[in-house]
Amino acid sequence: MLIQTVMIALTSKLMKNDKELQMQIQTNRDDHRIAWLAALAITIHLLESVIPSPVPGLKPGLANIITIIVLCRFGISIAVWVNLLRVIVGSLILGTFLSPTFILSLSGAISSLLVLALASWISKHSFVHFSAMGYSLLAAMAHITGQFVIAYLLLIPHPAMWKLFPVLLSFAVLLGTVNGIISQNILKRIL
Amino acid sequence: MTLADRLLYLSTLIALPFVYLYFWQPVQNARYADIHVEGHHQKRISLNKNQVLHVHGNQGDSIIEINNGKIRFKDSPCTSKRCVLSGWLQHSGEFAACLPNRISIALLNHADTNRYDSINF
Repeated sequence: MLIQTVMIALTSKLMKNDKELQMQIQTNRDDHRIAWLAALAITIHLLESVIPSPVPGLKPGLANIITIIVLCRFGISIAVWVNLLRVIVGSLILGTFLSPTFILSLSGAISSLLVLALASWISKHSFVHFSAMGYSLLAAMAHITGQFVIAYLLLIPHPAMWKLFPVLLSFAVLLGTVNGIISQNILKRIL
Repeated sequence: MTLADRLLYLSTLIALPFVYLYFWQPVQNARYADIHVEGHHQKRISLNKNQVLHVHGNQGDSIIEINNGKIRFKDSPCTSKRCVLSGWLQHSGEFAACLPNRISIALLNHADTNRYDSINF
């Protein structure tokens, strides 16, 4: 969708034809949904970035509540869009785009989305059904694990870094549970 | 909460202590030591072989001793002798330096290079 949009914008810029310049980008209901929800997630992401953290790498991850809700209501593909847009636009606004913070944020988002995709596929195609609680816990744990792997490979290739992993994983379980409860309550109210 | 959620929580809470056990197990003994002189990599030595090295630094020769997988500054021409007081090193990630003589020892577990100890932005 995004690539298509950019391509249309580029071609209409390049062509001098008035008709081509008048061309409107076709959007569907999902595009609007993605835009609204991503805007909401970005706002939460920005508000959250001013909360000081006692341990480096520890964040409540409140923006992920949006991801979980979107996953439960609209499915994985919209959740992927919303989450990736949140990471990219959030970093552009905060000025961390392509910095190590962004790389860690993106790797956390990608790994949690991969796990969520797997979990939602399992929920659809088997008798195992996860709810917002399970999704949130899985996403939080995948997020921190992905970040640690990338941080170890790219930023701090020192074995001592893994000493912090169990502590942050425990916080991920705790915060994933809190976010799961919040998502569940929001889902109950909007349904 | 569905049944799958409950099972997921149960397995997570059971697995969590094992994560602590796995990642907080005692530090491993180092197998190599990197010696840097004036910020440049001088040599990598195995800790398996007992030997005494004389490394030429800024102020003179530092004497580095390797014995049974452990390494130390035996003597150095500096005045404070902080490097000597660092004592025996044997765990990977440990570090001793004689700043006046500009010689440092860093212990490694694997032969592959640790390019950075840490980066901060």
